Amino acid sequence: MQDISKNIIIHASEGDLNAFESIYNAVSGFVYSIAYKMTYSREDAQEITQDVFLKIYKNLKWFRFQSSFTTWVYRITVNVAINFSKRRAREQEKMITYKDDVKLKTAAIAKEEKTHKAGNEEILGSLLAILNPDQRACMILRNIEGLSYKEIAKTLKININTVRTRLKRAREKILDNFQKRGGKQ
Amino acid sequence: MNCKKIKELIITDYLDGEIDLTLKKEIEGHLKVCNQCRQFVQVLRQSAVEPFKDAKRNVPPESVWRNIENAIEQQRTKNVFGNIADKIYALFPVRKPAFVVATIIAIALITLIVMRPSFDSRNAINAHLNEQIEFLAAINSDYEPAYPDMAYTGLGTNIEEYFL
Repeated sequence: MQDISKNIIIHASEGDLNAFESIYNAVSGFVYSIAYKMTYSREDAQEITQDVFLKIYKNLKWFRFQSSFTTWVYRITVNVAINFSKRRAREQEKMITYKDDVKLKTAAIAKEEKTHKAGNEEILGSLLAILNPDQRACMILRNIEGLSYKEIAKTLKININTVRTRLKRAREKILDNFQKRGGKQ
Repeated sequence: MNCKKIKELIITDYLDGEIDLTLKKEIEGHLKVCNQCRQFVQVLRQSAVEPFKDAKRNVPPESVWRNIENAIEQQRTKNVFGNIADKIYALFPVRKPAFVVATIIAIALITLIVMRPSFDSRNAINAHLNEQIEFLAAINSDYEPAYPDMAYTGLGTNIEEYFL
């Protein structure tokens, strides 16, 4: 991620749209990536990205530089993405059972990936689809974004042992799924 | 440490490099002699670590920034009252909930001050209450009124005679 100077943040918080665009250019990549990996839907990822940046714009005046700007943006992104995923899951739950949901999600990911790219991303999508939103967020922050347990705990405002537990449960699920498929992804 | 404990550490702290050096040495010592745990590490890396490596960073389409820009512009041109409220709100360096609570308290205090009865009206209320107390007390026969001509003498009805 590109560095963002304190001046740019201050200007953006005062309503300078050019300064805000600089922030967007610096962080939109990881915001959109997290959003996409949380949902594996381009439309949903775009909606989440828009929500995240409108939240950032609205709340920039409250950013006091006490924590890192990146951690702050991570927190907003992950929270918006988790809430979005949970809301989507609730909506789908009304119509279908969980197992059907996973099958549908996997099928949707496969369809989505066929039209855009295949390979490793496809495998990754099907792995993330079997996790719940909280576990998914932890796995993305740890395995893709490379955050430490302490950083994940700070970002999600949870206990470090909760981070451990979520990662453990997520990996157990992935491992179980892998073994059920006879060692194939 | 038994295999169960070793596997629990492998699946989190060991795999993520968050483990301290002593425990790391202990686990690696165990892995040298335990084929089952060695296999566990191998399968875990293959299933839950490798697929995450080289995950691509996705780039949002240009339309996303345009939508954000439009939404911000719309927010800026929202109704006049909204802007005035924002300006007043911006004058006070407090969070929105604190601002709302402070506003409610201020309104309540102002209402209390405005609605508070004046000294004269309070005297009138007190005089009226005293009169009422005296009248009720006069029903009791032991009571000696301050003004005998105002004593309760009854209305002379049959029902009164029956009860009294």
